[in-house]
Order: sequence, then C-alpha cells, then structure tokens
Amino acid sequence: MQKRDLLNVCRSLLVMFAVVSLIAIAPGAAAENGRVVYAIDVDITNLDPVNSIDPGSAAVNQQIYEPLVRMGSTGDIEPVLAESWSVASDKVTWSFNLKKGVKFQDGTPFDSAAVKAHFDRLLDPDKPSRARGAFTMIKKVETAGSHTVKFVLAKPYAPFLAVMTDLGGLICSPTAVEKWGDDYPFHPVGTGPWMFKEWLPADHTTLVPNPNYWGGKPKISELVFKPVPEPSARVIMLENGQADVANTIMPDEMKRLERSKDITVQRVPVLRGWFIGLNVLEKPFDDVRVRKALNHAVDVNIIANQILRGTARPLTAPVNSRVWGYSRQTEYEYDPVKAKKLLAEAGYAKGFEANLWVPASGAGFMPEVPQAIQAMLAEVGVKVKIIPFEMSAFIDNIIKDPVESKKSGKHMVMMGIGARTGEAATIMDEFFGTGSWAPVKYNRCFYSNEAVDKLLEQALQTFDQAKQKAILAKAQEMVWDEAPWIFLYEMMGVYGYRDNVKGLQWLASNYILFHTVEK
Amino acid sequence: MGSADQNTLNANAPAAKSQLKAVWRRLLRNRMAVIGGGVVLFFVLVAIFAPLIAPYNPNKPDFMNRMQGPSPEHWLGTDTLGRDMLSRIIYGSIYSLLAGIVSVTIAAFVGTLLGLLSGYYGGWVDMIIMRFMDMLLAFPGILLAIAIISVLGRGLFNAMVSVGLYSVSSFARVVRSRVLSLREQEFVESARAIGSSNSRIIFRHILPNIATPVIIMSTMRLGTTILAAAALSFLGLGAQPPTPEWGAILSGGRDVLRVAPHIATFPGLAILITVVGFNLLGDGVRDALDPKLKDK
Repeated sequence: MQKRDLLNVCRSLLVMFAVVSLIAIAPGAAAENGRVVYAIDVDITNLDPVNSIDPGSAAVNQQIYEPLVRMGSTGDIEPVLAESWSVASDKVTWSFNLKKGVKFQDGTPFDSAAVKAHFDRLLDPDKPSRARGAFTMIKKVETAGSHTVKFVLAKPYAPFLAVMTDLGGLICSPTAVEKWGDDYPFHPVGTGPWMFKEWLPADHTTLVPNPNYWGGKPKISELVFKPVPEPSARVIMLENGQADVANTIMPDEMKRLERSKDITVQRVPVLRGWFIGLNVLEKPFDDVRVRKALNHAVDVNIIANQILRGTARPLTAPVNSRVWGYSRQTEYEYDPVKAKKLLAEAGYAKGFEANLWVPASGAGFMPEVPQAIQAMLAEVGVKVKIIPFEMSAFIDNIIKDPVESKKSGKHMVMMGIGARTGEAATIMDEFFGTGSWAPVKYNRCFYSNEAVDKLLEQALQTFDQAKQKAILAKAQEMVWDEAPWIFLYEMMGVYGYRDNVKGLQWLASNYILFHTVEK
Repeated sequence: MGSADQNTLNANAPAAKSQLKAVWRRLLRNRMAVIGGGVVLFFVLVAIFAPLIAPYNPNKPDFMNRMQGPSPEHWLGTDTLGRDMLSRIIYGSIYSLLAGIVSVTIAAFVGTLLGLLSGYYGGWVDMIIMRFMDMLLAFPGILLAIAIISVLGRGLFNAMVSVGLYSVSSFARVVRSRVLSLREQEFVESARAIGSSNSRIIFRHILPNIATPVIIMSTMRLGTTILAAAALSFLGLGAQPPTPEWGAILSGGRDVLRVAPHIATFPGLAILITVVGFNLLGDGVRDALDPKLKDK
C-alpha cells in the first residue's frame, strides 16, 4: 500500500492543481473541431484485451477491437465479426461463421486463423491473462475453413454466446501480437473503427479513424480518452468545452448540469450492482446471523434516494434486475433493532470492529456512500474503518486467495459486480461458485454451498431458457438467504455530453461506442 | 543575546520573576500578539468545551438534510451526509489543536535533544546528526511527511508524528548553534572545572539557557504544523472518516465545491483563523522574549 499511497497523493495533488487551473481557464479554450475528448473517471491501464478487464482500458479497447458477438444497447446479443453461429448436437461444439473481407488495421486479414491465434493466446496457461477467467470452459479452438471457427467446450455451457461478448473476446491482430511481444499493449491493433495513435499512461490515449473500417470510416478526426478521476474536474472540463463527453457525473452535480444550456445529461441503465462482500471464512462473518444483521442495518433506500439522488435503487437479487435470469427476492428491510437482536444472538451484542475496503474512485463511486454505511453500522455497534483501494489495481489488490485475504484483513470489500455477460448463470457462478474462489474468479467472499454449486452447474448446462431461469431463481434465493454480501444497489450510469456531439451509442455494458459520433 | 538569556534563567528567583513580568508586559503591549492570543484562547476554549457547546452530534448523519446552506437550525449548514457543520468544526478544533501541540512537542523534544548532543560533543557525533538533519531538510516538508506516513500508515496520530518528525531538523539546528556558543562560556567551563559530568552540564547548565529559542520556535511552529496536519487529512492520509478534522471536512466539500461551497469554506476559514492566530502569537512571544531581535 505504501508506494501506492505516495503515488495516489501525488496524483491527488496534480488533480487539485488541474482543477484550480481549469477554473482559471475561460470557457474559450474549447476542444478543437472534429476532435472528441472523453473525460473518463478511471485510468487506462492496458490496451491488450487479453490482459485487462478494468473499465478504463475496456472503454478504449471497445473502440480499437471488435468481438465476434456483442451485447447491444438492449442487452440482446448481436453479430459483429461473426455473421452466424450454431451449437452442435453434442452441446459442446460451437461454430462461428466469420464476416468476410475484414482486415485488421495493420492489413492482416481477419480469418479463422486470427481468431484461433487470439483465443489460443488468451487460454495459454503459461501466459498472464486477466481476462482468461471468463473463458475457462473452452477446451480448444479449431479452424474449419478460412472463415469458420469451432470452439470445443469442456462441457455444455448454455450461456456460451454471452461469454463470447466478454472483454477477452475482443480480437487482436496476430501479426501485431507477434511483432511487438511484451510491448504489444503499446501497439494495439484490432479490426475496430478506431486505430491507436498514442497512449500516455495517466494522461491521455488518442485514437484516429480507421480509414478501411468495414462499417465506414468514423466522421471525426480524433478521439481522445482523458482519465480525470476528480468528479468536479470532469464537470468543469465539460462545461469549459475541454471535454465533449464525461462519465460518472456525481448525482449532486446532476441538477445543476441539467440546467446548463449546452450540456445534455444522459442516464443510462447499467447491468452493474454494488455490494459489500463479506469474507465468510473469517469471524464474525462466518455466522449467517451476523451477515443478515448487517443487511438489516444498512438503509439502502436512503442511500439510493438521498445520497445517490434517485440514480440508484436497491438490489433485489444477487444480480442486477436487468440481467437475464434475474429473480426478485424479498428485500432485507431496514431494521436496526432486528439487526442488533441478530448480532446478540450470534454473540456480538457489543458489536465488533472490521475494515471496509472501498474503491478510491471509479464506476460511479461516491465516497459519501461508505461513510453513510459506516454511520449506519455504527448504530448497531459495528465499527468499520474505511480503507480506500485503487479500482485499477482491483485484481492485484483484492482478488486474493483465502490465506492472503485473511492476512491483509480485507473482510469487507465494497465492489461493483460487472455483469459483463448480462446473464445470471455466469455471474452467479463467478461470484458464488465454490470453483470460483479467488484468485480463480471473483468469489472473494469464499462462499461455498454445495446445493448452490449443483444448481449453477445445472443452470449452465440447461439450454431450455425457461428451465434455466427456474433453476437460477432457486440459486438466487439460496444465496440471498445466506447473504454473503451486504446487498446494496444498482445504479444508473450518469453521463454528460455537449449538445454539439451527436451519435454516441451506449452498449448495455455501459461502454460508449464512438463509431458514429459527429461533432 | 546570549548574556541576556543567562540572566533570565540562571539568576536568582526574584530576578527571574521580574524578568517574566517584563516579558508579559511586552507581550500585552503588542496589539497583534494580543489578537493572536485571543484567537488561540478562543479555539482552546472551544476545544475544551466542545461537547457542551456543539449543538449536534458531529458524526450523526441526517440524510434528509444533506448539503443545506446556513440556516437558524444549522448555523454553518450541513455537509454531504447532512451532519451539522458547526458541530463538526467545533469538534474539529480538538483534533487540529492536538495535531499542532503533539507534533510540535515531538519536534521540540527530539530536535532539542539532537541539537544538544550535536553541539556539545561536536566531532563525529555532530557530523552524523547534522548531516542527517541536512538530508531531512533537503525534502520539502509536506513531501517528507507523506513519505513518513507511507511507512507508518494512514491515521491522525501518524500524521502528527510525521509532521513532528519533519520539523525536527529546524529545532536541532537552532539548538545546536546556541549550544556551540554556550559551551565556550565561562559558567560551562567552571562547571567542567569542578568536575561536573557531561550530562549534568548539558541538562543543568546548557538546557535552561536554550529554553528561550525553543519556546519561540515552538509557538511559531504551531501554526505551520496545524496547517500541515490539515493538509495531510485533506489528502486522506491523516484523520479518517468520520473524524471531523478540519482538513478532512474540507476534503469532503471538494467534490461539491460549486453546489455547496459552504462545506469547504467554513473549515477552510477555521484553519486560516487558527493558523493566523498562532502566527501572530508566535511573533509576539518572540518579540517579548527577545526584544533585541525586534530591533534588527
């Protein structure tokens, strides 16, 4: 933590400096014509999709690269580099027919060999990959002709198509990967509408139009991603015209911005849910009564309506209500008296102390939320110390095995569940399956329930959608009842953009596609 | 200035008393010092009686009344969690004053000790201590404090320690230079001649004579350390939520600066007034204790 602290502080100082200088600059200093600047709340860490699943990197990767299939704005799965697909009767062989005549930005033809090379690299256990976790069901990838690819799975996996929309499925040019080796993240090449120009970590990333893009060359001359972690700095940039688009507008600033003449505030539903994961291997969280008590002690409605100003609503299942397969559960009503009673029953009448790790910024995060939770928990005698962590270092810091997790005292961790695949089976498996214990996947609560494991296994192999939903509903009910999390809320993404910017497209995963943007 | 100090503290009791009286008179004659002293006294009283005068619990949120401007119910408005700003600032005075006092005490204690050893023994002791002090001086103060915190970990007490440690070198240098001239004085030589041990000479004969510069330095340093501690809390390295330390309250108002400017303004004013108060008082104390310095 130490070195990181120092870095963070230096960055805070820089940001402060930036804010002050931004306020000083008159609105005249607008972003040039035909150049769109996106002020984004998180850093960009790695432009190799095989090695990054953080939202900052993904926001850029979505422009440079394309997947075979993608979750569109409504959450339906749409073809991108694949034209059609099918699953064989053995339920483990998925074939994708690829789009013809597509070339990578470096001229390499996009064909089945390129797709195979990409997934072979993603799945190679000898190479580091942060995105691999989602794709572990793939046994092998085969080419069948120049434009057909076959994925053979280890066992039937019903939501496989949804898995293919995940970030690791953004296809890289095999030529560029080979040419640059370890340096590839600084020379990313995909098939997307935007080509890489430069990346200055923690400062900006610039993309230029791909003149040969199969879907038509973008109309603006440059696309710049600028990480601006300070929320007020993003708003100021937007108002000054130094940024054309900004994400994660703080709810408290929303109203003021909505009154502005040349700025549009856009609320976008997201698939993400926020929660506090409790390490159920450790005392006192090993006791379900304690976990339920914590759920009763936090007034999520107040947080959603007052602090987040109605841009959020309480979670009513372990997954976001927009996720396919969601099944509504009965909420833990706010009841501090009941919470105290449960704590007393569990032998913690006097409460206890714990550390609450929270993201320092990013993905719509507001520091007031954990502070409110801290105050609410204090009411029932639970004293938590808030410890911030960097969202961009989430995997490295938070996703640790049980031994490491215990050592670092990360008993309560507030995080957002990404729901990248948009369906409940995969998410539930990744977050609650015994086989998904960190660091394999994201089950860093180390929740384990044989019955849930069985249900999830079954759900993943059930191709009949109605049946799958019923199984998932049962699993959600069990997890909800055992409360390995303090279930918090699902939140809208709040974006602001200047009125002269047109053609922004939001994916269900909340990433913006800039292909059709005009200014 | 050397001989004046010796008279102050080495002379017999009645003379010392009259000396103190003279200092006190000089201090009261200095209008700015009186104002500074008044401000300091005010905040000290506020800190002592905080639980009695704060109208609300400083850590109790009221989510329905977030970010309200000043009103009859909340004189200084409410913060982003609806907590009463006045109560938070009243309680904050405890932490800020404490931060100043604790860090200055650490700095004065360690700095004086090192300065004494360095100045008295000279040679390689002096060499090692002073080169180390030079190293500390090479860093800008707040950066050094941040570096120390990154070793000790976040927290208000650690912030106080780190601010204290970065002030050590200034005390050490001043004390050392005084000791260098004192150790050649006759009274030290006579003490040595009658066979006094080194420690007796240092603590009984030299230490009392460096009290004046240490007192002056300490008062002048209080304002700076309060400011530094608040800066560390602002950066999230000092006081942790929900502690109503002024720097931390200020930091909480940063994101809503343009929607609810009062949240950042009031703790900022509190810091400003206290620091100015301590600086005025510090200047006054220096002038009163050391009238000759003022003439220069």
